[in-house]
Amino acid sequence: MNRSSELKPEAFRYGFLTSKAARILYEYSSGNATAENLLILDRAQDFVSQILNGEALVSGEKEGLNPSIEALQAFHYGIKALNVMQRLHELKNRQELRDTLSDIQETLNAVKKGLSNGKRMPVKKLRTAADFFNVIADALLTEASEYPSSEMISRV
Amino acid sequence: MEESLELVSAAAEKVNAFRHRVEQIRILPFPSENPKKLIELHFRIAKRLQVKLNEYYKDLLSATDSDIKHRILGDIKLLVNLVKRLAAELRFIEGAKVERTPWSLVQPVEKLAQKLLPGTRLIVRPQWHYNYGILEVIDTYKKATESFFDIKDKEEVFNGLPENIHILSFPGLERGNVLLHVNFGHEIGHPLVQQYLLKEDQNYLIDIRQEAAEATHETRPIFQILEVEELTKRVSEYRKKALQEILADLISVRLFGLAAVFAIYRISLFSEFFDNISEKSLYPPMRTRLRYCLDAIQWPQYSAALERTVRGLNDFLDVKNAVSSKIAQLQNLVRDKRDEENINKKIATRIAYRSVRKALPSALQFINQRTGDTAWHLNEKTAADVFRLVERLKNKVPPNEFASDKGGMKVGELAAIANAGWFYKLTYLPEIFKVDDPTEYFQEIDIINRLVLRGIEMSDLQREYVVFKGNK
Repeated sequence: MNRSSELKPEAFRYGFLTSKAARILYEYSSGNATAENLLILDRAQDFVSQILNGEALVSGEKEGLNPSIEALQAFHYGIKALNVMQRLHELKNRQELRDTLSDIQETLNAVKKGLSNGKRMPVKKLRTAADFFNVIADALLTEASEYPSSEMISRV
Repeated sequence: MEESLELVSAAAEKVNAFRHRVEQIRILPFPSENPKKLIELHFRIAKRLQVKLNEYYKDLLSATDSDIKHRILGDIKLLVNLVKRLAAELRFIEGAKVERTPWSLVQPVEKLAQKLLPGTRLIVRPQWHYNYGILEVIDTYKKATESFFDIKDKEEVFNGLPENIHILSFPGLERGNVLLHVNFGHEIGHPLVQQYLLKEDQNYLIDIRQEAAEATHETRPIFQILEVEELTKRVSEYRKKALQEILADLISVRLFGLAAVFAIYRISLFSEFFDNISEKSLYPPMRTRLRYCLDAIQWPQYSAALERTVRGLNDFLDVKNAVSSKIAQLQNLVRDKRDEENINKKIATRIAYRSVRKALPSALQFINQRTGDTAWHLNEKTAADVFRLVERLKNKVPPNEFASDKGGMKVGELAAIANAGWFYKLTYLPEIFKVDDPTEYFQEIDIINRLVLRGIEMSDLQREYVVFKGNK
């Protein structure tokens, strides 16, 4: 099975990633640019790119599409998080949804630079991005603790 | 704060208990290298988990912000979840002892798996749960801990260990049922299917999304996106599971021919999902799977080969008739289309299976290409081999070799031996309700299974000896 496993690797993989990303954003202060922190922020950016890919696929966009199961899964996590944050109801159309996600991605980029050059970050944007990852991390913690009912996933 | 510290303390106890359990298993004797390698990995992970937990504890003590504390505690809970999962997976290693597995079968199956996918490593173990199954662990652990371990941790944990280890499980109840273990062919097909799915062009998702959008009724833009997302995701999950199972079946048919079909049919007899798709596991209906298997064997060609062989050998007409009759029964079974009706009843499965049918030609091309040298076909020559091995079973001799036309003895291939076992069973072992004394029937089944197992073991040793002699 790839294949899926009893361990639910995606829940742990994205769970640790989003939790660490949230923590870096909550703790943001200049001079904290460790290689590990930058790597986590890179991965968090990739994750948001996947969410945007998933959004483009689900919305039926035709141009420059890069469809994948992973993108669909990332979009699932992302949109659920925005729903929990009560942001989804405020959005009128998909462009606003994309803008919200792009804002988070830009914040991550700015934080990466800011960690090294000591530049101050707009608090509201930092907070939104941190909360976004925080909500996903909580959801994935729940997912990781749910046991499958059968002993083996992949079978005859 | 007290509550948080108690949580850290409870987490430390769990990690310590895990490490202790790993250390106990680490000193057990194992029949092959793979369980030893896997327990070594668990040992290294356990050590690193203790270090990580200490770091979290220090971070928690110095944290003042409530959001940061919430995240540290979240990380600790996720770490404990990881420990629970890993601890549960220790049973894979504990179960891999010689006395609990049909050991003679393990090596030939592992060799076959390596022919399909070089570098494949197996741990074979019985499970209480009644089913066959396979899952990969090393790559899974790497993925799960990708953002948990830092770069240095990863080096310490994974360096020097294999790239993959697959846990191949079989129902413990069937330990001695070697004929049923032909289903290992399906299981070792899964890693190859996985490789296909990873390289598959993902543009099929665009078609699925299009059909999902047409099937949804929500008009508010954002909520329509949610509905389409849910249906697209569900459809792609059905599709993936269907392809995984159908393709693994077809690989088994490529490896074992008719024996694979008979073994899958035996499993299907007790399936709750013969005509339905399981909502939980998303498995395709067994009737659908059998239909694909029967299509794949191209029975008219097989039948003609059996016919010619029987004429050539002037014997084994009863064997040929028994096999033909079983195939006719199965063909009749798949003529019934209740499974397809059920698939078409639901939007998600209807879209998914349409996509599966579209994907199959290129998936089959991939599989046929990759199983090229490993595939076993029933033709006049191989059918004659099988009949001669059946003859040995009739004489209660292990079917490891037979007298060759060119003189001397020829070592039987794994698939030929498995087919001989099934052919013998279908021909000479009447169903239990047709005999007066079931004890004799069970004894006979037991003898056949043991002879087949011994035949597989001896033929494997004979081939190894030929290689050994050639290398000297």
